[in-house]
Amino acid sequence: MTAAFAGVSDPAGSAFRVGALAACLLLGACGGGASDPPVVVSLVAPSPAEIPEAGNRTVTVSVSVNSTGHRGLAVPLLFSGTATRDYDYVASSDSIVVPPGAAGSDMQVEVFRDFESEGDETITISLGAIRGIAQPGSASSITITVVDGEAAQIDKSPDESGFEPGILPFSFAVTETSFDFVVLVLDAGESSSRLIAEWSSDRDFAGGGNLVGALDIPPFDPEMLVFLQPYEFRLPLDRLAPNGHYYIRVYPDTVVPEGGEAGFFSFATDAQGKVVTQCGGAAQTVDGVGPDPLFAEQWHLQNTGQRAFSRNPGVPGADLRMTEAIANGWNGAGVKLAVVDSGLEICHPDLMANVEDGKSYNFGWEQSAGASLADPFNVNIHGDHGTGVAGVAAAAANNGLGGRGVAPEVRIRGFNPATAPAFDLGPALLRSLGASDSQPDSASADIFNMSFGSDSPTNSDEDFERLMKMGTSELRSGRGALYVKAAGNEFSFCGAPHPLNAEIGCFASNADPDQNLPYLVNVGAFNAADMKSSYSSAGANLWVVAPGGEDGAEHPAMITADQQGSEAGFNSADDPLGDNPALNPNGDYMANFGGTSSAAPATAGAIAAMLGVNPGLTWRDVKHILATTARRIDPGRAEVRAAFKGQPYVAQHAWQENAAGYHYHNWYGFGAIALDDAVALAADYTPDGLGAFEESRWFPPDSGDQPLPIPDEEGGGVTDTLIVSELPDWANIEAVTLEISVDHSYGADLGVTITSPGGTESIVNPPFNVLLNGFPGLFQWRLLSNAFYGENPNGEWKINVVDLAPDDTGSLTSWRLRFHYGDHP
Amino acid sequence: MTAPSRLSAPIFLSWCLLAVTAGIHSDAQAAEPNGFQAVLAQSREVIVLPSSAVSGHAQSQAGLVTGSSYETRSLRVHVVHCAGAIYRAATPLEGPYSRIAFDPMRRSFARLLPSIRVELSSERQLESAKSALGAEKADFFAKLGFAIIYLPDTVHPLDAIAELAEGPGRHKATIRLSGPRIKWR
Repeated sequence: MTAAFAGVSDPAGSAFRVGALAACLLLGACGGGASDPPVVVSLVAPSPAEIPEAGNRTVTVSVSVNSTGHRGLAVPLLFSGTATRDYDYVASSDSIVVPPGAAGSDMQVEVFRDFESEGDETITISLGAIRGIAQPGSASSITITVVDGEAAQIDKSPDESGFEPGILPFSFAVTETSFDFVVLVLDAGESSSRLIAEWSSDRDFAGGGNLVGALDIPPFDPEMLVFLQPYEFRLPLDRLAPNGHYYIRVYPDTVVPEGGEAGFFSFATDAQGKVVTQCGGAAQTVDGVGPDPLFAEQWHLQNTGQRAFSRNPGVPGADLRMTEAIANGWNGAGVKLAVVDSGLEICHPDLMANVEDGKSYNFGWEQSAGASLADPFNVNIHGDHGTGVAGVAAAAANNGLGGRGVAPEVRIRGFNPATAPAFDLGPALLRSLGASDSQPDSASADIFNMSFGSDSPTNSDEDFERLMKMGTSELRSGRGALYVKAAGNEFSFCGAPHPLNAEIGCFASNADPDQNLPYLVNVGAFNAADMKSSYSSAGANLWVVAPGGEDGAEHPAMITADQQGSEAGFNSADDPLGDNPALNPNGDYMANFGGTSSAAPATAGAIAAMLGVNPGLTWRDVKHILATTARRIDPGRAEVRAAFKGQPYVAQHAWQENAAGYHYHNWYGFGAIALDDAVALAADYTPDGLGAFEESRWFPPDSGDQPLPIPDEEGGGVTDTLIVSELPDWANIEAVTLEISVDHSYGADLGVTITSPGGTESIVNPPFNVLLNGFPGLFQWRLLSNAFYGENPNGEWKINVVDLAPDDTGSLTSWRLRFHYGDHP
Repeated sequence: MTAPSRLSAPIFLSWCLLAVTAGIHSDAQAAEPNGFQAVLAQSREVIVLPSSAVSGHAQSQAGLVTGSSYETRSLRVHVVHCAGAIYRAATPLEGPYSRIAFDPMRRSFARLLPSIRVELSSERQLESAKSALGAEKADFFAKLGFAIIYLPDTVHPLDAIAELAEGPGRHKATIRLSGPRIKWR
């Protein structure tokens, strides 16, 4: 027995070989000579001994010995208690090995968070049979209490908060004598009979509304989807006063709204009593020189810990890291940005210097008397989203007004495709995004800002994909336009059908079909504390994150341009900036803008700064530089893990470094834009150095088309593989697209993860994705992952599909992968 | 690059017109298909539902879809049986808003838009197609190789597609469905 230890040269270090103890282990102790006193072994309970299940806690269980004069001990352990090993917890070993001369050693017990309602449970660990020279001490057993966590009450009933409103604005027209508006009724209740339209000169309809009209609507059978033709109303202008502001609300008579909550349309009248349909000219001097008075509060440009008019300060450095850009004037000069949005106030004093003459386009110009083709003026005075977006990217700097944009010299043009009827924006969007060179001229833009989106578990339509391919291969003289897309604001506020939703989000960013194409720069948002904005949708299709802030009241939001005037815009009573007499005397700015709608133009501005210093960059060069220079924020963010029927499942990874050395997180993509670094790299970058942009064929799985049953409510799920072997050895992945079909009766039960040959795991569809609530499975759904950027595609790929909720079941019926790749230096 | 054609009144006016005239037109029932018809809307297979009171069926990738349509005083009700479940939808009796389709894979209904998507490559082809359909308005995307042709209220998209397929240009055309609603973010 003692001879077995003769070769142990470093008892405390790595040279200690457990294998060498084998003979001792059989006896339970490897003590000294027969005359040595026995070694007393005691268990040491973790502190505290009560462990909440919720945190996926790993606890350390130790043994101590009363003497270091031993030659190594192997202490067998027994597990009992009400908790079940390998179901409620896992132990790292059946014994604790104490190296020779050590005073003790330990092992780990990992408690599973499982969302089961089982009450508090116990794990009792006792010393096993110890033989030979060792003997148990008084503490021969310890008990750990696992405090039960939140149980999942999975609610599969329709989520009311996720429903579209029952009445939607459809379109409007302005004539010389009336304001005509059309609404769609989607659901008015089982007993509704009248649709009421009212106007008021008060935004909140204080004192009620004045009747525009009332129309009969049939009752809605709750078991039936009802498609009705739109309802049209006409508000004669002779009922209104000149120089007024007017608001319209529409509602079924069974549900009288509170104030203006059903307000869909609004407008102002001019001195002649006509509806204002074009930008009226700036009321302020626009050729001023001097500091921008709101710059000091624009945390997203330079975060000094300011409050930005909210109650809480930000964290210094939580910004675009663009100190040098500001100092050196990397302002996007010469770059053309198309703001595709609700409109653009081209005469806004902080924007007009950067608006390209005659390049904007008003899709609704023919339907609004007095409107101008080149003026995408938003008649609606409830706020113009596009003006706020434009301000983030392109507000002029050093003009003594408001704040400044990320790229204060970029040239902007605005398109307002949403003036097309609500259900057929497609052609207007195509014309706005590069498929037209006159009326509008979108084809000559360098960057398209797309602070909009939709939610649907479908694929991008063929028209849009064709547009993206054309835009990235032909525009900018073949260098490709940049399409910058807001990822979505649906992380929170879903009613949390499962407790995990609070950590992994409600709607994933794959909810938008267009965002599953590799041609876009999908942008999430971070806040002034350098964390993900609470609302920012997460997913594997994100590229980067940029400032979006929070609500502006508790925590800083974005400070940007607003519709001019105190009566118009988002700058209302709940905006902390309000009509601050010193900083916002005319109500032309707001401090409550936010959303990934802000992160997108911040990114567009950053790209403009890059193209400003190196116009030869291709669209892929720009994405590559952004990925390469992005900074990892929230680096300690832990993975989200839980067990289902005793099988652990990772519902969201921590930051991962992929096999090509890129770090990726589904909350942040490659990280937060670091503008100075990006511009510095761009300046010295040799364009078009990533090789040709190749698209592979589809690779089917090795299992063929055999349906693979998915175990119900189990964390292990079903796994399948495919081998990719024919792509070039030099290939560097730029995006991976999964197409998957799952025959299942409730899509939200499903989580989908793919794993590359390099070992990178990417959750392309998180479980409990609210988008799929009630949805019957997945049907040839295409999901994009950027997490494998730079890796080589050859080798074995895995897919894992889990079903984490009870009752509904199904099978993985098909899947395949397609790769976009280049040849990176 | 060629600019898209904008050859007539804006979209809004035609929608208003629909709202006004839907009750007047008798629509083109005689030319409309009476049964359930499986068609491709780009890469998505849907069943276009009939615009009259009939029963029918269609074979789809998702299996057999059967159903019936009947009329109440003010609505047409469609009842679809698919994969062991029943789905119901109602539309106006006539006009463009009466045209819907059922997606058997996603088991959902969608509106047919009063326009079609036509693969073509020149203005001349576009003018020919419009003329054949009596259409006045179109968006032509030369770089993308297709056009959207907006149909007169009385022309059912399936009839328009058949017309172009049989015409001298043999143009490939598809129906268009209303997409998900765009939201500002």
